[in-house]
Amino acid sequence: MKISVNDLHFAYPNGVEVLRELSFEISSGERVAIIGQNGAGKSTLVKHFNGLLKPSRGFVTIGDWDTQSHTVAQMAQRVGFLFQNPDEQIFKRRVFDEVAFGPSNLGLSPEEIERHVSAALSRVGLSDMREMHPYDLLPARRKLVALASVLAMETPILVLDEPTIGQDGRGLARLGALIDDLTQQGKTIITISHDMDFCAEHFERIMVMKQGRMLIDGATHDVFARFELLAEAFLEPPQMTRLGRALGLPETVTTVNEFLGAYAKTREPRH
Amino acid sequence: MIQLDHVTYTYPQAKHPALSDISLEITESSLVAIVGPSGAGKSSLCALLAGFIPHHFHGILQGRALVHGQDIANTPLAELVTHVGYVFQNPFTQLSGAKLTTREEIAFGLENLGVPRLEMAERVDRVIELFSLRDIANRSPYEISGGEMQRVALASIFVMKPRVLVLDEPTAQLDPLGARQVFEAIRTLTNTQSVTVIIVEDKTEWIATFADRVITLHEGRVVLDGSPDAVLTSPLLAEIGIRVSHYTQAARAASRHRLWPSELALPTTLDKAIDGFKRARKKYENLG
Amino acid sequence: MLIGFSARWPHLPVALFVFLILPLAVWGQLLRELGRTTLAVIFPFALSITLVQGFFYPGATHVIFSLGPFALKEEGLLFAYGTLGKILLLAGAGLLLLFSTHPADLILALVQHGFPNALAYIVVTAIQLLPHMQAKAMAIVNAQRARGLETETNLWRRSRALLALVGPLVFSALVDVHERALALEARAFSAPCSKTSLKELHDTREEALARWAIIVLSIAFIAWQIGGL
Repeated sequence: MKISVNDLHFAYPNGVEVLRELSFEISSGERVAIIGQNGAGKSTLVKHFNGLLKPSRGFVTIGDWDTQSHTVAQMAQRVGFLFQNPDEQIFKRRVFDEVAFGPSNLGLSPEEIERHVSAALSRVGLSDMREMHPYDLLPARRKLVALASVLAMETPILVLDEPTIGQDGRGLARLGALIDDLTQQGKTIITISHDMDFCAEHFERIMVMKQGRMLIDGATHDVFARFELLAEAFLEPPQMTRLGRALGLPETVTTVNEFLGAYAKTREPRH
Repeated sequence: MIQLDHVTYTYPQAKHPALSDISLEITESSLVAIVGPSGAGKSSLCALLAGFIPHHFHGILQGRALVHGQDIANTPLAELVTHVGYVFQNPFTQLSGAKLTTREEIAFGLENLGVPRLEMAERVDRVIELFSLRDIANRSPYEISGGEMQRVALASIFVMKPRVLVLDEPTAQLDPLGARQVFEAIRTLTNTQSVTVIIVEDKTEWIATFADRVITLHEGRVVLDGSPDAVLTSPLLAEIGIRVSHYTQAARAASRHRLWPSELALPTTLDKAIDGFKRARKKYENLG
Repeated sequence: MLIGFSARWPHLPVALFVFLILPLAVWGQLLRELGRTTLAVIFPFALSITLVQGFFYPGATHVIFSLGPFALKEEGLLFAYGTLGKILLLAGAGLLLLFSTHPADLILALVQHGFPNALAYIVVTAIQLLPHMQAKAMAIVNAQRARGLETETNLWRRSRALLALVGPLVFSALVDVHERALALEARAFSAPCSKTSLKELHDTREEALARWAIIVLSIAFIAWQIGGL
């Protein structure tokens, strides 16, 4: 399902302009990371994808739906949205019920709900905690409950706002594997993240925002190669990109594997 | 300065202890980083050092915990806070909510301690300079960025002159620029002031560059304790679920293919990674 | 305000608003804010009072014009005008205080005149944190809407949304309050000593004099009005 953003402007009622002249498309199955400073407009932008905010000018369409003419609840059939703070979402007394809330709003049958919830919980590794009270879990786990409750809606598009905050190495690896797996199923994943290394490992397209505008939008390698432009947005390229550049590798690398490949190549015997 | 002797602590109604048989000594003027997977007991350790355990969280505390020779369990919190300062993860919840400008916000703790106005103004203005907050001194603490808010939090604790500062993931909710600003403020403190900083942090590149010592917790126990290079490159880290920097990951994989000099420790920072990979290349060219 | 309310001359409240409140607002550079908010507060009152009193004021006889069975009467309009003048003055003076004096300053003044510190803290933080609580409530409702909870159609669905709002709001408020309580402890809030203040409220002799003059003038005027009855 395609996302089209066309000449999007957004201003708050008090006149403060937050988004300016944004136009782009995200095709089905793409993995897009949006990066930039706080206040650059990242969250404001993604809130247009499920209609939580409506454009002041221009339009946003998800498939054949204009967000202007659909309620947020309707958009939820197409766009799943994980918010930063799970505590601003969780309200049921059982993990299972919390995760089932979305699917039941979509009007699924009890059997379908059961299937969706089980699948989602196993995806995030919380299958054996379905009977627990969400508030008895550690914050990092509560975040996974929130993630499962979005996954369980099985929407074609997923928006993840800062999914890595509070996750340790294991949580990070699980999240990465999950994103790779969802892409295999053809889902579109859009994330906001400050973790450049994570973006480099799991996202193929990067959008850099600054003061409500799109500074760069392109393939991960191309974007992370532009050190000066990134610095302008107060960002630093991923660790491997910096290392590769310092070692004078001929191509831009962003992940550990790419680095190793490119580095090994420079050491191949010259004939 | 800080001395823990076989400290075990269990929260009320918890089945397992959050801290298990921890013995530690932290000497004056150092930057100590605490790492561990989620649920390892990092925040509990911080809460103990600040005296929130056992004065605020009850439960069962065994063993002995001393700050400046004073037993944490027997010293009132209002007195402990003048020895140990505490900065939380969320910059917003630490604002007093009662002040109109950041300058007044910074003074809040001193007001509570009854410091005379002239001395207070002098101390407040000094930390405003120290943390480069002059531009926002007269702005509302609610209308500044997260990074600035967190520096205000740091300043408003440091102004009370604690000799130990405990920072529980102070940059977790900040953007890269905000995190950098807070890290710079911490660097200023450890470089110019005689204060011991104990920080829970998962940005290994920063820890590797600036920490004097890294303590690793797992299931409430200290499992590693030593120099950043030694601890952060330990294979145990990945095993127990701690983030490992890409530099270390790359060098570890490279060393399996003999692409990393065997005599060199695995790198934790950009500079060390550059150095190691350059050396490996040179070695190879010499061989060839 | 007391003067305006106790006066029998119906134009006095309006006159006070125009010749006292507005110049003060101009002096404090608050005219636009004050004007806008006052209008917003006054307009619904104005509409309803003018209509209700104008048409239905008991015992009114001077008909200005009639509209079927309804007749607009002069006494009613006069009464409406008098009441509105008082509301205008009340709103104007109240809003002027609100805009010119931050609650925190007001509380500081109260504390320095013997108001208990902890109570003052509660009042000020409640005022300061209100917008943040609202933002949080908004965020929670949005999180549920994003999971397909329909809130944009009818009342029944809205009340369901309310249920989904209360839990997280209370829980996150508790988490916040707990952390805030610890943070306050970390800043010696409960230190058993007398507190000092960085900020000095300068209460000049002119200000004190003006306060007394206002009180005396008000009492005198009320006495004159009552005596004049």
